[in-house]
Amino acid sequence: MNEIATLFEFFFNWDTYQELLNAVYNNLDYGKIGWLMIIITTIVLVVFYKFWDPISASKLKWLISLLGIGILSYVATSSILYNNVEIIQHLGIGQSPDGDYFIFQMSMISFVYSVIIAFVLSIIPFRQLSTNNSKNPF
Amino acid sequence: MANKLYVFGIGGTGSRVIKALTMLLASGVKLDHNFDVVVPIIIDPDTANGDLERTSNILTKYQNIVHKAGENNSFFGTKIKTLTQLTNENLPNLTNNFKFSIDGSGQKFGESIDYNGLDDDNKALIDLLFSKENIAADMTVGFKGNPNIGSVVLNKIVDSQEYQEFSNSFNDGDAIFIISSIFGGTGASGFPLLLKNLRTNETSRPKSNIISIANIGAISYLPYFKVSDNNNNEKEIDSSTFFGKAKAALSYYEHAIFKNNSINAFYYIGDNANNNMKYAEGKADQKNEAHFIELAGALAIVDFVKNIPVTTQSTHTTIREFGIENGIGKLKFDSLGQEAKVKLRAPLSKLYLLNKFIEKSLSELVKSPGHFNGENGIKNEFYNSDFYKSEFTPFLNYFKEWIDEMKANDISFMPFHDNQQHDSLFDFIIGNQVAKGGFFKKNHATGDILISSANKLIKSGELDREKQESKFIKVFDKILDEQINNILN
Repeated sequence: MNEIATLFEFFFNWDTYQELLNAVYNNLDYGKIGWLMIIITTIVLVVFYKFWDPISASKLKWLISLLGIGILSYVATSSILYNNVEIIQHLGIGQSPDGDYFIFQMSMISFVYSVIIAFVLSIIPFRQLSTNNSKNPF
Repeated sequence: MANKLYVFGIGGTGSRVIKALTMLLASGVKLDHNFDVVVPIIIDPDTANGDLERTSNILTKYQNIVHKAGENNSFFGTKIKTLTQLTNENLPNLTNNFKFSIDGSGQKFGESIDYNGLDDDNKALIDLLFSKENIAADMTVGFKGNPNIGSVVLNKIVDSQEYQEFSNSFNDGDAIFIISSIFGGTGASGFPLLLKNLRTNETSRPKSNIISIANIGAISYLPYFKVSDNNNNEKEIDSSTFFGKAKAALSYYEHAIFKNNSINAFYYIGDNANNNMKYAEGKADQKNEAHFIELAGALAIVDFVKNIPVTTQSTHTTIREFGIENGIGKLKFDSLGQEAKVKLRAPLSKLYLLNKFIEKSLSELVKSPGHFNGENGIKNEFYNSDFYKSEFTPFLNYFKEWIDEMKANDISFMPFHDNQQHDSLFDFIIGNQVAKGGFFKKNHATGDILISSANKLIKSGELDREKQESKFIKVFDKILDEQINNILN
């Protein structure tokens, strides 16, 4: 979980966001976010390559699938963080830094990471499942 | 043992029926009784005849496709060979292009019989039998509706190198089919002469003992078109004489052929001769548009082989005619009799769908990121190969042209729509509608289904060992079979 935390904390000023980052860490939310990103990516890629396996405009549909993975990860991360008691308390007090903005930033980071993970997993090994998209994206 | 079917196509009609037969064989129609080699032999003194040239090109392309794609396919599944290929001899005088050379046909009739060198008595006899126009007739364009000329010239074919090779290659169990028209010149005179020579057991000719008792079938075309003449000039080919000539020839056949039972099966075919063909005496101008009854003639060949007696002792002549169920309007598959419908519908639809797929969906297939274009599939270079560009695509173009010409002719044979796009590809057989889907409905007519099937077949690895040409043909052979079955059932 430490590794996942590092991937997120890298984007924040530790002094400013220490309290919120600790809240995420203490509630084991990094693990939940990490697992959800992998599960969402896996499910969507299996659906795309194995079941949907589109023929026409397949590259565009693959990009849409990646976008879908990003959005789902964004929503999943937001949901997890909005259910974190310490963050809720922080939001309730309304002190600096802005809790909502923090959740938005965390969700956007999840979005970016999940798209990167989906891109890598598309090449190895998921496209091998496909009949019509074995060379998609390339 | 595999048997061979020798198909003699006499004159322009003979060429066009052989073309129709080639299209049937290309689409996957098979001959029964283990006849897996067809040897087309075109007899036409007009060697520059447009119909003959076109048929010869089609046959050559067919052969080249089979050569590269292999033989174990439904498409192009019957071997077509020339006499040279059968005898496997490298004879310089033997043509390797399906044409039968006729001695003396490239000159005027008078020159071919040495009219000027005859003594007065023989000249008088010739003058009695032939008109001045006959004697002066230029035979480089055929016999122009004069069977009396043709019967003299065509009697020499047994002396040709081709006839020798035909005899040498003939084996027990092989069969012969002769195509001719009864209302012209070349066919009307050539058929009885050829039959007489085939049935003569002449010890000086190789294997004539086998040939003389072989199964022989023939089709004679009764008038089915008129020739138009917009200039109102006197022309040498006059369609008003077609029926008279046909009656005279039939009367001759009655005595010379049917009473002797010298033929096993005889097919008559004709149509209301309402459609006009452009006037042409021969050469490249004689390129008549394909007509449905030429396709029916090709079916007669398939029927003849199917009904070949097990022994060759049968001396009874079977006479057959071709009929349709419903001749109102344009003919489609449902207009045909059950047997013809079953024989034609699936294979012709399959080749038509292949042609449409190449035309409308190949670009989608080529850019598809599936297995078909992968490591074990078809490489991009294939589409620039001689096989694809010079043999396969031109053959499909000939097929399309043939279908279009039958559609435009009278009577029109129009079994297919011609308005498909990639997303409506399977909705092409008139009378067999395929759902094209909607907002919430799946499209069952899209070419994507074929692309997916092609990818699946390549992914299975079943064709990994095949060469590119063979793989390409085999892929479509298999996937189109499946789709045509789905559409028709």
